[in-house]
Amino acid sequence: MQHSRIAGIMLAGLVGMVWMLLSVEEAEAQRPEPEVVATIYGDTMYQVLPADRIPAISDPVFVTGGEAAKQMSADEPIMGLVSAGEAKAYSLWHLDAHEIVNDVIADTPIAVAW
Amino acid sequence: MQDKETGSFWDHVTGEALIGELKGERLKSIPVVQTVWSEWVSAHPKTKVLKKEEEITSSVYEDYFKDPDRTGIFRTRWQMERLPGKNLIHGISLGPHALAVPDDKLKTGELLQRKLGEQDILVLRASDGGVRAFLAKVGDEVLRFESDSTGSHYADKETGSAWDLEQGICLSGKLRGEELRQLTVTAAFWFAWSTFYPNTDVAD
Repeated sequence: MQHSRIAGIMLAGLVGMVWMLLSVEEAEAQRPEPEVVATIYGDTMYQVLPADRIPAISDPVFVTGGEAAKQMSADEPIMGLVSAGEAKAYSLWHLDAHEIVNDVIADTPIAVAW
Repeated sequence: MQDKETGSFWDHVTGEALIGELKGERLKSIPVVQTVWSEWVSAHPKTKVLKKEEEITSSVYEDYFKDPDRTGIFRTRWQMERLPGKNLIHGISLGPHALAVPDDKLKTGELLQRKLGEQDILVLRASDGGVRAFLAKVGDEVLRFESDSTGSHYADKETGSAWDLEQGICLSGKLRGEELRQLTVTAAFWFAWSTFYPNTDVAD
């Protein structure tokens, strides 16, 4: 991905739209008629679910040490970030149900997107 | 993705706002490590982990990930002639240029050194299984790397300095303390990457 500009404060409120890949099971089970939202670069963009139907996490809570170990499996895939000496991990199995975490690391607002 | 502040719609792969007040803005991407818990916690024993609300012991998308015929939700189309749609690739983009590195091309300990557009880049699979990429230069000096005599580190051919290439940091020698600029690597299925980056190169 590329770095032309930082939209710093706008990272603080991202919710999942699910107009792309991930919510296959839910979408197939109970999908309302997909609505055409726009044409982007010649492709049709459909809205498959309402905004935040897959709820983003906006006030993330973290655990460490023994409590962290208890909730995780050894082979559980994670996304990890280290910044200003702080290490944070987000389980991809956990993010299946949320897709976006609105978080902060080293005073920088971030959106962790899966 | 949609931001609550303006309702603008964002492309979650490129970080670009496509519709709304913020159309044209682009979020800065930050490289992350994709690995498994046991590797991560042994490298970062004090790590924080996002707290789960309930027990979760698998992915709900396991069947989807494994099925070669399921590519997205519906009506996806991609460059089928180049690679099968569900092949896993590691995507890197820089300015107008993009590169897809097939997952099976990256063995631990081997370096992929090549151009991306005008820039020299370095791609490797770290010991934790995650893929890292860096710009292969310090200042204006392009660096080419090779395993050093111990086999456990790398040295640049230009100065013979020793590097930890998993972190992109020079450990000793003339360039000691220098750091390579890290690039974001996106693990994706080919069908998705090639849709967002139709002109992408594929590493062979």
